[in-house]
Amino acid sequence: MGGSSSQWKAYFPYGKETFHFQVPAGLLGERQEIAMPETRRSPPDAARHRFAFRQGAIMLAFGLAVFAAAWWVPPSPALRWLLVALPIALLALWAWEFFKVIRDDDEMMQGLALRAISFSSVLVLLLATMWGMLERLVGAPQLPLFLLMPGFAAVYGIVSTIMGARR
Amino acid sequence: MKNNLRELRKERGWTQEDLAIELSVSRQTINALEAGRYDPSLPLAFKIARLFGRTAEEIFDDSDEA
Repeated sequence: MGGSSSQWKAYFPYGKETFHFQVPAGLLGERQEIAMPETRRSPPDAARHRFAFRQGAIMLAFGLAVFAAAWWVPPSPALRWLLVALPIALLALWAWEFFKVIRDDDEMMQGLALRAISFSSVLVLLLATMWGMLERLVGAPQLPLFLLMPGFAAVYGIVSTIMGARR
Repeated sequence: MKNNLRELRKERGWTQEDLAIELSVSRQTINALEAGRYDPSLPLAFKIARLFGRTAEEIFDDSDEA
């Protein structure tokens, strides 16, 4: 146990160095310096990394909000409206984050994203229209329209992964 | 379009991530550029040329496509 036990330092340089943590003496025995491999990312890569985390959080919140709106009947109509508005607001937030990550991307990835959006939109619209006709003409089960946007997000995820792998 | 981006990068001891940071593009873009699967726009081609102190013609070769 050294005398400088109160020392606690962390360096976060955005250079080519590594992260260094000086752990206070007593916490891990003698004072130690732990070097961690630095995760350096270009601005487009960092934006996409942030988006992946935010998208996961928004989708989780969306799932919980849909579950709450479907299963919980609040005592007042105002609260009911608020509960229904929450998943819609979360989808709008996802759309904002989605367009922001495309805006911050580089030229090649923007082109890839726009191609994937075009393909996914046409595919989802085509399938939805086809299903609508089946509903009307042959009595197919009703497709909940609120699934359109999450459906688009899922199709876009698959299409952009395939397009990215082929590039 | 062929190019010698990979050789220039390795001469400097840079990783693809290093070059991506220098050019503010994604690592996938560097990979696609080096493999000749993506032709950069003029602004990006000039940015690459300036970074390596060469002309665009010294880095990119479009003789196959002419």
